[in-house]
Amino acid sequence: MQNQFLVFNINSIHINATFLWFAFLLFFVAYSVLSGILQYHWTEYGMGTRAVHIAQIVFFGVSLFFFLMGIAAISLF
Amino acid sequence: MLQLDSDEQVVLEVRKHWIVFVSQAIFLCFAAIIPPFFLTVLSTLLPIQITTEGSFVAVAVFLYCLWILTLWISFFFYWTDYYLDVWYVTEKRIIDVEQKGIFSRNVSSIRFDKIQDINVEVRGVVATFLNYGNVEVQTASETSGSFIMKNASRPELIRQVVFSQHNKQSERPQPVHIVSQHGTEHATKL
Repeated sequence: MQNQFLVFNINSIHINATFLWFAFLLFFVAYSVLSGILQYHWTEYGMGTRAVHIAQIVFFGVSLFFFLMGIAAISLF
Repeated sequence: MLQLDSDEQVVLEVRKHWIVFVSQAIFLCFAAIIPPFFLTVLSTLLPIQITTEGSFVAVAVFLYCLWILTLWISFFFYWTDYYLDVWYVTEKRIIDVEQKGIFSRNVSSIRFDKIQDINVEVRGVVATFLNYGNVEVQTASETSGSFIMKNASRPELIRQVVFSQHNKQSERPQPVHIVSQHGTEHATKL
């Protein structure tokens, strides 16, 4: 006898704005946690070098740009 | 943060050659162009119909942004692993900071008077042209063993700097401890 709880029958996926915002929120939380880990390593072990400061600026600058692009894409959806 | 003595300065920072980092990170560049092909293949193979309330282009741009951000943070994890795996050659010792991935870190140091020999191995055409190779510092210490940096940048320079610091250290007058019969200790420099 087949277990009804284990049957997945997906024929279509419907994407709406709520789905996109939820995906964005989940991704943002995960990204923030991982960024925090990186930031901790740079601050704690980076010895305050110029390379680490440049890496921080580039990392957060480019991240901000793509997050804003993501938000713009959902807004224009 | 790594703690140095007040009169101690870093003479040389030794890292792996940049080619090591680039060869690790280069597949991220290929990964960045995968999604368009992936979507094309997926739409033909999977019998799932994807419908949207609004613009499909906006959804594609949104998903692509998330993909690029994933690759971007992966790139910096690679870079952090590369950058924090380092030797600091100071005026007194070599500090070996071994970063294995992001959550494993081992710091050990060796004084110059414990160094017995340094082996430099440059193997292959690419390593010769780009000037990188394996550097092994052999020590007299039973606990430390030897320090090995694989694919280190400018290995000959490392050997020269370590030997020059080793020589300076051995020429420097060392304090001699004289213990009197009463048990009191005096330190004097010869």
